[in-house]
Amino acid sequence: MYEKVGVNIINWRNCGGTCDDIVSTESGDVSINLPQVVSGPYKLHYFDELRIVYERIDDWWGKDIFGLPGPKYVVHRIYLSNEQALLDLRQGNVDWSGIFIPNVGNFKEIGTYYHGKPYFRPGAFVMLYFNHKNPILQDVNLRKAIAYAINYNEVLTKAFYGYSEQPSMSLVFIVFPHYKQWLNTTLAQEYWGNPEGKITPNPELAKKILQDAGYKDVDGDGFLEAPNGEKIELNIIIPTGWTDWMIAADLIANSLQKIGLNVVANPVDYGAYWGMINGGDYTLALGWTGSPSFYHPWDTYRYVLDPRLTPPTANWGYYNNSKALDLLVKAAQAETSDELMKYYTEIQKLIYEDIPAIPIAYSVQWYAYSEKYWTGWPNEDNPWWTEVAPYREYSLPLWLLFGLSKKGEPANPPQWAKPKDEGGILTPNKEVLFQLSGVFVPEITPTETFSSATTTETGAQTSPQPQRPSSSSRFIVGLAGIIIAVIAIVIGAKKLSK
Amino acid sequence: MRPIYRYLLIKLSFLLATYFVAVSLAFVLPRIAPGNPVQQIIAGLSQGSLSPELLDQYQRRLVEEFGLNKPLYAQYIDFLKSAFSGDLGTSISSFRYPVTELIARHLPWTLLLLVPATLVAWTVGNYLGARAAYRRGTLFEKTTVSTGIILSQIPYYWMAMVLIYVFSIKLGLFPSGSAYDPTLVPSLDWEFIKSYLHHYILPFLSIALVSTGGWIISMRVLAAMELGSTYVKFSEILNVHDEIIFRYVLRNSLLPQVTGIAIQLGTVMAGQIITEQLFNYQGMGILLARALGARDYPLIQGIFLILIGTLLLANFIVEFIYVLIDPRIRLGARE
Repeated sequence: MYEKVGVNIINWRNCGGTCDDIVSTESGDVSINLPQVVSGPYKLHYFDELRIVYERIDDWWGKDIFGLPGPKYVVHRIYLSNEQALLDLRQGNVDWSGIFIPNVGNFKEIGTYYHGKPYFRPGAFVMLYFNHKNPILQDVNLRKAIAYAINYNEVLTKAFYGYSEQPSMSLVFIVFPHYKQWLNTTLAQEYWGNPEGKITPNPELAKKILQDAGYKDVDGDGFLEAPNGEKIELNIIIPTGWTDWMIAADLIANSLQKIGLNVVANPVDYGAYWGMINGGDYTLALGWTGSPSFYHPWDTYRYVLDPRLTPPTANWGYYNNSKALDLLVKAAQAETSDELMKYYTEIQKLIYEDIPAIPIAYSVQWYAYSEKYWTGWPNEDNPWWTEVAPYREYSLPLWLLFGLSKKGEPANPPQWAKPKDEGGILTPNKEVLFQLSGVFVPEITPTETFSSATTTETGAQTSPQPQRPSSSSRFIVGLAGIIIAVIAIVIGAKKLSK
Repeated sequence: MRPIYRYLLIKLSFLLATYFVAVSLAFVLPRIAPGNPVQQIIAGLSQGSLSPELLDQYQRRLVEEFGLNKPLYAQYIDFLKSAFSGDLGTSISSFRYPVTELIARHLPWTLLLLVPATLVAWTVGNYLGARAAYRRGTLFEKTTVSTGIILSQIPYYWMAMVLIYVFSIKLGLFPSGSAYDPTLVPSLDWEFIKSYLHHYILPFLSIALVSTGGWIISMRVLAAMELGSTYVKFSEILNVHDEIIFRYVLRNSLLPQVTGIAIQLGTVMAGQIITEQLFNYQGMGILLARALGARDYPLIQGIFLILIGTLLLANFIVEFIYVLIDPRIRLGARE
């Protein structure tokens, strides 16, 4: 292309080989037909607003090493509503999905990695961010009280359907054994009373912290005022339509109201949510962190603590602490793991003492499949490859397609996907694979059964556990509907005929 | 100047003024709402493993490229210039795709669904409504009118959900979404057309059924009024055949319904956003919903320009036809 138009390129519209690429130059548009450059076994075949279709390259260069993936075409479908996507997944029109599925255990036709809770593998953190620009939230006592007041187990079971366990306050991804080494367990024990650094909810302690710090209900409205007499009015922003997050925010607000803080959940549309995060125009927000890097928590620490960064790239809470920056820089320059561990310990201490943000849950790796047409999906029983959400482009989700076979044909996980010591080529050895798939997943036992009654109590609009009506009750509802319709028609006809 | 020209000139200047105001609103409203398209693109990327520095750099480049760093008035002038020259800019969320091209790709699907559904509903509704009025007091009238009332009060999206639930989930007769089998590529071969029609029925019904109800009700009222007029009574005394009187009544009460259809096309377009979303149907509704969600300014503006433009134009054409077919308006314009 450069040979043709040289330095005159103003803008280039890349069609990916489905049409002619158009290059704008000062003297007008030039249309150039460029071949697709592809390194994998699929190339772009067709796309429109609702799907992207890839076609297999049958004489792919890696054929002799990796073989050919099962499907001839791969269609990536784009949905605007989760409901439609879930419907298609349930009907088998979609084979592999990365959407949020409420109560996935209820759908027998949808496969997940684990057969029981938590069904999915954890991805990044769901965080409760404080806006540190807000003077009221600059008081560490208030932040600490909030951390103690939240009923984590209730949020995890009612809002997040038991898909996640309680994360460690240290922001170390302790669900992966190899990751856990970066957690200073003695420090965690010292601060939180358990080696994993999970906060045990303690509303009484939260109340006491606030009381000792001078928070009082001055005007008698039932809510506390700050020590300087200022009213505390906080709300937690979440994007509307993210039903699990909406319920979570409601539950958190409810817990905080119980210790006397005036907090409400405030769902706003996704665009507005971003506007508020970016403008620092919020008090509390449920948000996320980037996915943790493979091995250590530095990226997560940076995402939450680095004062040089601003949203939307990172540091959603506008946390500004030179000590944190210093530690982050030192950790990056550390040469030995002992040295690194020293700085991570310092960072963990800082987090415990300063509560810059609170991890609420792990956001999960949305991996679900239908076996209507294709089988061989990796799961607990068949862990030949890690589960990947289709949107995880950098986790090489494509490899998964090599292990799929048409329904009825024997499943055939590729030999190269096996660990190196068993003849594979990509996974170093069995130990790593074991650590990856042998995730530490304790069974989460819900403390209470959740019914729609509890939800109305917390004011959530959506029932977290839609219960299937029994067939007899459905019949009664249907019959009642027909009777009402008939009555309405008769009355309407009588009225009109008068 | 002849009154008829003056009438059209006044209408035309109104049309231009309305267009200008509406278009300016389409520029201002999305910008007043918090959030902007670039932040959302970056936020989406920040969940991946890109470094914050890289994201920062990318964000700055996007802002510059789409002129979002310019002051608002400069953006407005740019927008007006391009709006009147037919260049609607490039979409931000569908990266670097010309807005006109996106609209051109979506509009046909919406029109294919909307125009036949509205026309069928209009024809069937008018016919049934006039019949119901003519056969006053019969069982036919009672059932037609009460069904019409119930249908007209149902929201489009609710009807769509009921149809999906019954015919797709429970009975499995029709697909629950998409405009055609997603494994096919649009073409004019029989397999594609068959799949298209199969996917067409539910969304078509969800729109057609509801609006038929509305037309039945309004037509029945109009025809009932017409039935009271002297020429009908006179014809009855002359013992003119029932079918002939019915045809007179139908034709004479149809006039207001013609205006109705232009307005209907506009309102259905808006109501269809949710219907299209429910069916994952790739029309203008889904494009607009996506553009709004992503705060994609050029795309929102472009879609509004087209929607408002066609709505105003349709109304103008109807008014023009009116002048031709209804002498009362010509006379009115003279005063």
